[in-house]
Amino acid sequence: MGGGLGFGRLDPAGGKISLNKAGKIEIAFGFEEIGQGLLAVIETLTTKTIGCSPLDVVIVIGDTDRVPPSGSSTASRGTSMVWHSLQRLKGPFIEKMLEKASRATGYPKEQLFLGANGVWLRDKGEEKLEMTYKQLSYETMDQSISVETRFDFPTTPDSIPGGHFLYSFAAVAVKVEVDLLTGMVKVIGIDQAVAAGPVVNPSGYLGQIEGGTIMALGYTLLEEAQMVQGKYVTENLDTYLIPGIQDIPENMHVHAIEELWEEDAHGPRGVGEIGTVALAPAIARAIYNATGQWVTKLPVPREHLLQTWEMMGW
Amino acid sequence: MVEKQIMNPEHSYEPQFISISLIVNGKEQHIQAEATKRLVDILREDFALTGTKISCEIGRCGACSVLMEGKLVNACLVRAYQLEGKEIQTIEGLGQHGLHPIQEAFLKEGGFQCGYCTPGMIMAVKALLDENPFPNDEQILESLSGNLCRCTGYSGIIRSIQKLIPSNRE
Repeated sequence: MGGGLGFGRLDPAGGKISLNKAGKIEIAFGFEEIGQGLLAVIETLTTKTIGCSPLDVVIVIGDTDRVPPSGSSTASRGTSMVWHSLQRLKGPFIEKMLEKASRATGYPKEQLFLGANGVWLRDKGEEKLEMTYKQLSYETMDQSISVETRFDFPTTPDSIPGGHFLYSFAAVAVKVEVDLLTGMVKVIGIDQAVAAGPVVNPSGYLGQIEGGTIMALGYTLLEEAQMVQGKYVTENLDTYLIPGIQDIPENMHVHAIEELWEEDAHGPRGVGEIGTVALAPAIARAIYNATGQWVTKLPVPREHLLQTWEMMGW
Repeated sequence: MVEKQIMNPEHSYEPQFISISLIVNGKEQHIQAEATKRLVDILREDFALTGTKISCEIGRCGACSVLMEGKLVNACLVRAYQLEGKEIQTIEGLGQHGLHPIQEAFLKEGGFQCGYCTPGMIMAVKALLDENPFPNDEQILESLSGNLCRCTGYSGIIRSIQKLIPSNRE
């Protein structure tokens, strides 16, 4: 799940970049910010790709009258799709901007580049701001500069439903304490290493991996949606137990492995899901190491463990 | 013979209102409310203070946490008849003149993502630090044990709190 939703699923993406009338570089996506840190990702990737400063950028999301379709804001696709869109947008956009700037300033395109606050000139080994984006927007009032892209994320050539074109990898090491009297399993340390390419927004990355890890902790040890005769009996948070602050390990570390293969053309991967994946197997293995017993059901069934230990004479 | 008495079919329930005076975020307020109206509904409906959130409605999750007389309470469990003369502080009471240090810390250290637990969580942090500006790890965990968060895994929240403790701690 490094990017895209997988084979057999609609996975459109797109983005739009323009120089608006206020002289700002307006970048638009159909995504929504729901606390995952997407706005920071868009700002970082746009300024890095175009060469301008954060003050030059205006981000437009959420208003379907004003933004192109980008597909859903789900799973591990946001960061990836923003990056891919910008790779497609940058060429034509920069070309058009420099074309207009060249005609307005008289300097050849080859000596001009986009930077902070406007178009810069490279002349006789020196660099200086030649024309602000605001001034450029006056020049382009009759025919504004705007580039849009639409594409589908590549799918695997093998027709496996849900199969992905791109995967990220993670490894988890845990330390657990098993109470033989109560069957309670306490996780006291988690180390997670995630290889998903360059980290675009460190705070968002950490939030996703830490949040995903603790959600998986809940799935592994605490959460069970129980039904009797088709009706839920665990209806609220007093019976469906999600991790509270006392349930998290004393030590939790996230390691980001950012290196990519030299010819990798896929940019930063999405990390919306990967934090959840490897924790349960690690805990099961740790329980086995501690007690010699494999857990084959989640959440870890305490009563079953206790019965088995009683039978074994522990 | 027993005479059967049939209840008057037009007999209907009439809400009984009480008058209460209370202080909300430093301002004196006087309202009429049904005696059993929940504080969370009074805040959200009577005072349009929607920062306090409704979630489990049984006092487990802490999303509705506010300060009552300086103590952390679940507003879903407090009723109008308990409010006479009481001082209530909600999330809107923080950061009235720029961001409160707790809010700053949450922003810097990633103490929230979707934000739904956040008003309650911040009130819980305030209750802790008002009572004890130098909490140890155990005290932090215990004080926040009534506030559930699904997004952050709590680490960002703990980092935010540690940022707020003056570095007299080892």
